[in-house]
Amino acid sequence: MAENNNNNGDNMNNDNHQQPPSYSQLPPMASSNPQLRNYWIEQMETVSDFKNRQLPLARIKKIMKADPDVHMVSAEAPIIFAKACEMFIVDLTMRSWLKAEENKRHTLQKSDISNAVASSFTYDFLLDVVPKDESIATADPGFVAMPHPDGGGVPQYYYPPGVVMGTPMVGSGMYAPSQAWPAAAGDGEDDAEDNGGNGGGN
Amino acid sequence: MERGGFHGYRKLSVNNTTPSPPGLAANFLMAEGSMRPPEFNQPNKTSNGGEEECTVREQDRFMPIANVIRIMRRILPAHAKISDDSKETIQECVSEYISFITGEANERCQREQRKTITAEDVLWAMSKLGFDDYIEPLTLYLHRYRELEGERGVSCSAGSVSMTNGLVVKRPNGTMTEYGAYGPVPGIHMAQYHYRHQNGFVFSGNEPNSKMSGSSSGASGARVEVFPTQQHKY
Repeated sequence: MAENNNNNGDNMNNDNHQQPPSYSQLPPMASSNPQLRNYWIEQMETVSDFKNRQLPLARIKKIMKADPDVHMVSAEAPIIFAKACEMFIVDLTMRSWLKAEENKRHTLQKSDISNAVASSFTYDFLLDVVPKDESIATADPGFVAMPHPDGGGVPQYYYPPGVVMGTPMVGSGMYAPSQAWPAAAGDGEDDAEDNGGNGGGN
Repeated sequence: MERGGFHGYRKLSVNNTTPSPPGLAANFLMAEGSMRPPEFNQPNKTSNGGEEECTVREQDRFMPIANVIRIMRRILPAHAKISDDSKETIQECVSEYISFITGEANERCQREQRKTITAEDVLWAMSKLGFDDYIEPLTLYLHRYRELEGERGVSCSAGSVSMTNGLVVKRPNGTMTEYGAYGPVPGIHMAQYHYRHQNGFVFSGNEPNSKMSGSSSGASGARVEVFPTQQHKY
């Protein structure tokens, strides 16, 4: 385990050291990172202890079942999600850190995450969670900034950023922004509309 | 946005009042014990002064922040600092990611008139929603997990597992053991057959991945076509 940790550190340090020039030159649409992908493949091939999880399965399952349309979840789905969320956190943190480095800072700020989310289409589903209305961030004409209830810079412990004032934080934060949620809703009309949309998209 | 928010609130109410559907499979899932004790979740934010119900809901909505920070530090250099608001933002992003992928996976289940979201459904949803690079590592992870669980099922059933995560894992071990011993439980047997069927999906899913990687221009074209719609929506 210690060796694995060291190996992780070494690999990630190398990746982080190599990332700035090539990573920042990637086109905005590309979410692909061959080095990180190879790193994860090597990690998966050497995994031997599935009980040493970084994220609790019960919590993942609870978040999955927060959607009233989700009926049953197989035992393997949260296990896959636990590893996928690790990859997601590493990927998003790396992109955000590159933004901090571009501004010559050593502290990862929320605005770095906001900029990283705005620079990759794959993360469009996070635009409501991480609105691009930070005072530090430069306005991007391609995106419409969402109004923040209490203004930028104020830490939010109860209301996710971007939630309209007056609406409950849990519902809005969890359900409203995601494009997938309306389809999953129990409302027949939403299902019909989304099915049509999917058909058009495909 | 307001309408969306209102819609979310209604769904939240439904979620609070709707119990799990009855049935053998539902009982089987509930028997895992991962959903029953809501108080089992460890508190994450001591500074949260909201209502008790709100506190429980808040804690259930996010991954533990200590785990998230540990994973973040894995990629950051030693001198990097992480502001508190960025820690919480990543927490929110992870929950949104789970909900986003789960919603897409559930759509597929409903189209195919299935009720259980499987690991293959999750992988398919990730591939469809732009996380193609995750598919190969996670597929390897899933296969390796099944190999080890198949081997460990016998020894694990002999021992006792008391942790919650252990309890969650223990049930699949039992399933594998019973399947290996050709147990007479028809539901579990069918479920296992279902898994093998899903394996076919994973295999067929890999080919499109290789094709997409082979022709990057085609993939870019596809993405260009899809994303302007999303931009228009926003």
